[in-house]
Amino acid sequence: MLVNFVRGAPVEWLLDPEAEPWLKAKPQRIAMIGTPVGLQPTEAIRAGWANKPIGAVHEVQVSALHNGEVLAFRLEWADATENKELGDTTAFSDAAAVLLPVVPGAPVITMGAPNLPVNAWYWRADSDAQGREVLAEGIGSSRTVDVSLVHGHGVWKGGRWKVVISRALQVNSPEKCAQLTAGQKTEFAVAIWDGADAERGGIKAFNGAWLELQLAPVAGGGKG
Amino acid sequence: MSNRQVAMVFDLNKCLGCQTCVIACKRLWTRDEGMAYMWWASVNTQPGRGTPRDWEKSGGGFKDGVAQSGKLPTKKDFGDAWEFNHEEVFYGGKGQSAHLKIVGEEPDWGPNWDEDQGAGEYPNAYYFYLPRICNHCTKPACLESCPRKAIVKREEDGIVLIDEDRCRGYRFCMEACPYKKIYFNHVKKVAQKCIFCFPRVEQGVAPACSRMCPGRVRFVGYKDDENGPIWKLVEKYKVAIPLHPEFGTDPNIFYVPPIAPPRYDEAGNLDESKPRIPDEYLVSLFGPKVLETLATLKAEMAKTRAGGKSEVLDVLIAYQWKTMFGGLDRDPATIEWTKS
Amino acid sequence: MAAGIDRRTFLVGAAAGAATVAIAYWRLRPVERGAPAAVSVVTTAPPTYGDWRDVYRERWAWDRIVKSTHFVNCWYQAHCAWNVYVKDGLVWREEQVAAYPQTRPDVPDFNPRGCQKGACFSERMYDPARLRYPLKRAGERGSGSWQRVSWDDAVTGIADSLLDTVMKEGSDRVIWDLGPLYTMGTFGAAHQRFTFLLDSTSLDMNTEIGDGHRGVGETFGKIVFERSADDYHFSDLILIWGGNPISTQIPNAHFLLESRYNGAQIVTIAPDYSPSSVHADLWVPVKPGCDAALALSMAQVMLDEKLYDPAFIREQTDLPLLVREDTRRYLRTSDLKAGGSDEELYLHDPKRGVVLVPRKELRLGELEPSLEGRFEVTLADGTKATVRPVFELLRERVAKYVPEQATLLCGTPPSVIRSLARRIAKAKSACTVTTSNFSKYYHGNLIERSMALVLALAGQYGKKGSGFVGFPFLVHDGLEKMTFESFDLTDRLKILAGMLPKRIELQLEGYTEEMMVYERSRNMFAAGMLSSGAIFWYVHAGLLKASEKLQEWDPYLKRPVTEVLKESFEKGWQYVWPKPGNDPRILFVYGSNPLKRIRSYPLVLENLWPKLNTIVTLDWRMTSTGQFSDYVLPVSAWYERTEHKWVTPLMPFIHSGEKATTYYEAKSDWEIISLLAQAVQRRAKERGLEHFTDRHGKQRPLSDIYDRFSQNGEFGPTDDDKVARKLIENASNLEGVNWDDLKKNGFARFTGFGGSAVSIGNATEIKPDDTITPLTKHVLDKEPYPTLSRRMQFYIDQDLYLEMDETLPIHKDPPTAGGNYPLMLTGGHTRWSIHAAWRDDALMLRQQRGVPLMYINVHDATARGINDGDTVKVFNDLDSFQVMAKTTPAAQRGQLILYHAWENFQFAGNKGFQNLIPSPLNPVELSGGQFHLRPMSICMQPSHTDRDTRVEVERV
Repeated sequence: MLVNFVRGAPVEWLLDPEAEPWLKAKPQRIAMIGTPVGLQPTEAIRAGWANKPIGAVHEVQVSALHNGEVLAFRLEWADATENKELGDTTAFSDAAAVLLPVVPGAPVITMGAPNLPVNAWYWRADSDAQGREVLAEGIGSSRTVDVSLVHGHGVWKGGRWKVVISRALQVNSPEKCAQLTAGQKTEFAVAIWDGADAERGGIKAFNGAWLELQLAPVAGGGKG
Repeated sequence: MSNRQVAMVFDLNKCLGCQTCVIACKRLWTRDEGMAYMWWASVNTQPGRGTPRDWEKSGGGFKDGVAQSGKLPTKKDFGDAWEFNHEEVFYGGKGQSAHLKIVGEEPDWGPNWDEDQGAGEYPNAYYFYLPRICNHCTKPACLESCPRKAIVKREEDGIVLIDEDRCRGYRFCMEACPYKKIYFNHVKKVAQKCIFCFPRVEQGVAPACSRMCPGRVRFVGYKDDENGPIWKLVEKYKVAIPLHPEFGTDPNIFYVPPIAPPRYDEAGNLDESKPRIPDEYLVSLFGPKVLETLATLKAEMAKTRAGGKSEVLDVLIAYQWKTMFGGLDRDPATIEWTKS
Repeated sequence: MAAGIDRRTFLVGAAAGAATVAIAYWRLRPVERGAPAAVSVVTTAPPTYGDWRDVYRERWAWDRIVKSTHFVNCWYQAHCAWNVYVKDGLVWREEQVAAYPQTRPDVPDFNPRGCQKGACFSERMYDPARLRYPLKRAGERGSGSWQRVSWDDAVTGIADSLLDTVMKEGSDRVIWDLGPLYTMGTFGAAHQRFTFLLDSTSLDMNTEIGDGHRGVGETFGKIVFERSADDYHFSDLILIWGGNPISTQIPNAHFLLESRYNGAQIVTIAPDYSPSSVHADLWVPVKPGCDAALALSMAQVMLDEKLYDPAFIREQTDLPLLVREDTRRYLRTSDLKAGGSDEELYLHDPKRGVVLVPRKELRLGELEPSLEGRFEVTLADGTKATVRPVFELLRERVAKYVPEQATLLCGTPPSVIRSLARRIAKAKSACTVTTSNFSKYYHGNLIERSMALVLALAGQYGKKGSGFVGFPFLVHDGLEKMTFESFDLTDRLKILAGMLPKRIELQLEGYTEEMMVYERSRNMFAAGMLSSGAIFWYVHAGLLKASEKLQEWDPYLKRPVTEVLKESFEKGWQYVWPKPGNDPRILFVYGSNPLKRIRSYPLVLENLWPKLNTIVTLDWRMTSTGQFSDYVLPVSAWYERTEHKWVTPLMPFIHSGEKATTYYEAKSDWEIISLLAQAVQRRAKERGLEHFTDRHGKQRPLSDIYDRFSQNGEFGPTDDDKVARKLIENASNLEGVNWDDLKKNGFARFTGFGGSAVSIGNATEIKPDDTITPLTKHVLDKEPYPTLSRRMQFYIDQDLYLEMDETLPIHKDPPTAGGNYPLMLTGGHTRWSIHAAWRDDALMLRQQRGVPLMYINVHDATARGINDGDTVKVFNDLDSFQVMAKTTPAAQRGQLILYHAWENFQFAGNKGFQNLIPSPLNPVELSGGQFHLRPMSICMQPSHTDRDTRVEVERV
């Protein structure tokens, strides 16, 4: 997928999934599958989901833009209900994440591996603007390393979520995260949790493989 | 596997159902945001549906060593933290037309909803009180279930703790725990449960629920301490047994089973042919071992009734209250904190 | 453009080369729908904070600890020493001190004490019920409209009203209702000084609240005697007979259950399978209010099977005393000799014939009083009369309570009656657990007398771990002295001078110290310094209206109770202040809650409230009575005051509290009353009022009233600590206890029972290293009982007892009080509150169902289409209320259980559950005149009762 460069695109645009620049960007349709129950890391989870389907979201439309400093992904998918983690103990939040490799060769299916970390930018409906920067080196090892770097915003309307997840291309962090530059070619993957189905953790829909991500160079070398 | 294990014994022949343990825990730990509905320590009338409602039939735990799926209790099952309209009643200027009510929806369950109801048929009704906390199991289903390994069991004392920094609030642990003793904090978005008062234990002070129990029901100590009450009651005299051993988690809270007065027959005469609390019921709670445990206890009580001595009953009497805490008998009031 | 956002803020600290920026916590501002959040974004991660474990560790920390307790009448439980943890100027939580010394190595120690209620007072004291400022009503009484006033305005307004009443109508028209917050510390000191100086009427509410123990008083001449809870360890048979200690004596209950492990058998006798039955060795069902039949049947078995202890009853009871067959009265010297004593009674000795009963001691010497026989005496007028020992009359009486007959009255199976009677007789040490349950039944006096009888026949008194017990009470005796010290020196000398000859006279007559103390108390009643609360409400609040139909309800009633009341007043058997017809004008609600407490309280609102010019509630929380008051004055909560309080022998340690924190404008009662006294003095001066005339026509000073109250400023408004100290120093039964140590430790062991009328009755000693067993002075030291017969007295020959056939205990069916309805609204004290102090506390309510509850047997419910959790209407001829039904197989059919103290404002329409409780007046309790039947402190006045009220229930 190409990440178009939009010179001077203000942050408000990038964080508003209904802003004009997004309407112009052509989204990529990505098929989603449920994470296999056999890959769930604990026996209790495997037992609990043995007879329940995993992965309520089957397709997501993705586009991405950057302005040389900030990269934003836009995700849109069908979801009959808006779910936040409010009220009952059985309430789970709708959520989405974009996964990037920190180093080339980090595996996607296992959420990274020792010394081959992956970096997720994570958004939840019930914390909206405050996203999470997550690193993982294998299933079950994910940890939030920061809550101020990733920002998002979601709008749920008429059975559809439109969500933006964004972060600065380069971040100053003691942790080794995905650092991006304009013109870079890398990969990404997407995961979506449907709160209505009590999806959380490893119980989610994901697209199953790395997809190509090409960041457009900064204008001067391309269209403005 | 941890090196040492702290444990408790609750004597169900002394529990008054006063809920002091419940309040002790509440006033110490669960008073922050998102915690109002939590009762890490709870006491329920048995037979009864308990808290959360119908927890005994909610799955989780292990069967033949294999993890079982479990239900996630709802807030209604736990019982919400009802608020009341005092301001309106006292100062609303509404005279007699306003009275104290629960604000919001009328509940149909609470943490102690079926207090003192019990089971049976008059004059053979029966009930007793069952205090519960997290069992800090040797084989915790919660620990096994967490995909993030956010639950740890301490080496030095076997206390099972939820790492609130690692926890993502997935609540697989709440499904997995067969005793349903884990709660979810909606504000912090983490699971929370009894911490065995580890800050107190680290200072040599017994957990608040135990130390504050006026019934002197709760013994504390290390399982391997042969001078402490736990080893004596559980290993030596075998008068204390776990609750629902068939859940497979190897819990470390043990119970001295209750002995109720005899029943009456149709003619109104005492009927000692079968106990007031049906054996089947106690077996369903504690497993078949409960019958020999009761027999042991009754034999000891017969000794003292005949004027003799009983070592195990002396332990249960606890002539000196401090001996109940297996060395964790430091007085917290002797601690002075300095601000750094 | 959204405020605060621009590129620069978005990228603070961006780029790899930037120096680390300290902190950079983002902030979220409210999100408008559709608009992106306004954020300051940083690209530098914040520093790591402390481990989550440290969060918990840091939470368990505090600034300081203060010792305190809960100064409310947890009656039988009182008290428990608590460490109050203060953090950032507020009370954070509390935990028991748990440092009581073990009395002796072979009994369990008292630790830790406490209960769930005390363990959350730190929350209760800050909840919405808490009062912050003085309030004056702004609308009608009960409207819920208030205006905040200054302390100055409040006390000035009240002072003026006081002066108006005292000058124009009478000092006795000022009424003090004294409630469960009373102490023998600063609270009591303030009240006693102030009311003495103004000659106000203080209501003795003990028999009205339902703790009168009438039957105990009729039998023992006093009601106060109880053991220490560790004395249960010497019992081998413990009778929980009425009462529910598992729920209501939480800190003491472990002693019962440990005694069980030590070999004792616990027998619970109750209509329902109560929480106190759960850990018993035997539960004995009985029909509510029908325990007299059970007891008398056990007496019958003991007599029939010769299981009684003849030596004991000969020496300690009136069973050998002789009764005239013709008059059914005791044989007296006045019968045998013209002008002879009315109080000298007789027994028969086989060798000596009919002789005087020793009155100065119980030792019989060589006498062997006959228990059986018929003897002839020659009366003063020369005629002959036949006399028989009470024992013979008793045997005739109990003959109709053969178990097969008694079971029809009490419902207990005959086999159980027999085996229990034998058990009690053969026990090494049988005791009862104290309860005020029967004091709340109309015929409770008969029940208590019968219970006392059973244990007396078995000789079960005086031995460690034995005895039927009365009302637990143990106070220091320093308060009376302190009140006394506020009198003028000349007055003090006059009083002492008057007392001395009387004292000598009584001593020569053989009065024990105890009897002299009671005489003083009786004089205070006669003089109006104390007044019967029970009678007050019947007369001045029209409560008798509720039981107009008593003759329909009570088949044993011979004539209207109003007639008996009139006779009682005329003959001076009972008194009431103010006298009938003199309306009360001012009511101080002093740590009490009469509108919640009084049975048939709507009559109080209807009849008494309009008579009152000024109603002042002093409390730390808003109450049902506060809602209907003119002034509500905020009192310091228990951790906010320096104070000490009484206890009971069950827990023989005085407890103290030190002020830990303050709260808005709340003040201690000592300070409030001081300010009020100052205001009275000031206004009296300003209004030129020098004196007032008291109820006996004597002139009393008015314009220096505060000077007297404070002893010329020695005890000022904030001198609570000084007052508390003085009281301790004055006490004779706190030897070696000094106030500073007491404050530091929170408790100190009493060294004796002291000389107070409400403590001396225990008739035993307090040793530092032994448990307390009551009545040893009588049983072991052979001191006479403070009764007419000088013995445990089972025969009462006062007029009304003869009229009502209650000379000996008898079974009487409970009246159909409230109308002929099939269900009986029994009750008990709740485990969830001490009176109403925690009744509307959210934390406590969450552990119940949030609303008032009533237990009903499953079948009674089904028959009425009622399911568990349904709201039901409870009604009888008087009124109705709504409550949530809780079905259970543990309640007896026909029995409803509604645990006490729900505030009226917790019911729909504010119709509290006591609106339909008629509390009929039992005529026998209007007796007087005879030695120990005269009213005195806390007893021998009529009772208010409720647990045999009849109702019906229907779904709403």
